[in-house]
Amino acid sequence: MLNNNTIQENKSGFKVPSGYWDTLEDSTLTHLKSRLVEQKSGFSVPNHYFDDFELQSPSKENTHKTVTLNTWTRWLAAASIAALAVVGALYIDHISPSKNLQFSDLDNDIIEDYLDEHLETPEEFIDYENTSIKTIINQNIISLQNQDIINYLDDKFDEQDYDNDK
Amino acid sequence: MEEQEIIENLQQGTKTDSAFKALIAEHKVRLYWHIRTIVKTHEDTDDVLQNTFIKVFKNIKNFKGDSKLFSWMFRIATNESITFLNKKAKKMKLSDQELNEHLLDSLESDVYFEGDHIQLELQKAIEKLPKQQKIVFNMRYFQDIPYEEMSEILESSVGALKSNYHHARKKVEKFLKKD
Repeated sequence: MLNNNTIQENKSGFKVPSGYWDTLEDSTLTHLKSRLVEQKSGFSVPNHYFDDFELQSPSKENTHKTVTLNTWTRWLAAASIAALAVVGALYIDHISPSKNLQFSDLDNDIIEDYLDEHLETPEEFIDYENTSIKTIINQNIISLQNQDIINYLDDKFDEQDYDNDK
Repeated sequence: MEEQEIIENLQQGTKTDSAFKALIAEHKVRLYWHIRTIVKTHEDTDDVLQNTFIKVFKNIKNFKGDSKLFSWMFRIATNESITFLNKKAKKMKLSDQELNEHLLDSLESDVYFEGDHIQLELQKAIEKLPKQQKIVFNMRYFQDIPYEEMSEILESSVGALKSNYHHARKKVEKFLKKD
């Protein structure tokens, strides 16, 4: 198996990073599990996030200082937070997409990108066992009619002897 | 773990981790190189390969065994690679042709391409081939896959594949001589 890899590298000039094959099973399994969780939860993580993930141990020493507020400053802080919450709620209500953003306002590119990213694309539903490889390769670029012509021409060449070809 | 056992384990959801790892171990090299010949860079190949295996995992419940497992996975990998390139072209606002040129230009500065001038020209020549001939040429020339096996994977007669390869080789030679 890895011998095939060497043949391919020598002939094509393409290289594979050292150690790539050793970790592929584990990294793919991690990727798969992450994707399954993402699908269930709706949360996502950046690509390759788990590849370099290292747990940072918190320092045992407490470096934070606790400061006790006076009573009047506590009241002032609470009032400020309440005022900010009211202003914030009014602002969010004002810019609420459901009120101001119409579907027709969205650019087509934005809609297409969203569909690409978030929805199952038609290729998800391809029956790979019963779809011919030629259909997949050509992805509707060549019409069926043209494909028939190509098949016809290919079949006509069946009789030729290409034994010298390797 | 035998192939049938891998399929059964994945379909029934038993020993999933070990079955999935065994599946990857068995097919990773061939699928990797098939994808690499289409998308060119290692980083993109790695992304597409992982997506291919994830799609295999998600769809294996629907695999009935009407075709060989590798043929089925090969179709998924091919579709994933082409879809990936289409999306990339769309994101970069390039036509298919322009994207091909961009991929070949970026090969020269790619740290994972150590080919000489001739190998670079060969890649350029291959990109000029029609899609079917390109795949046949890559499978035969780079991966040394026997025609009989290619016939099963590509659902073409051995004669038609030899014809494809013969025409591809002539076109590549012509391109290289011209340059």
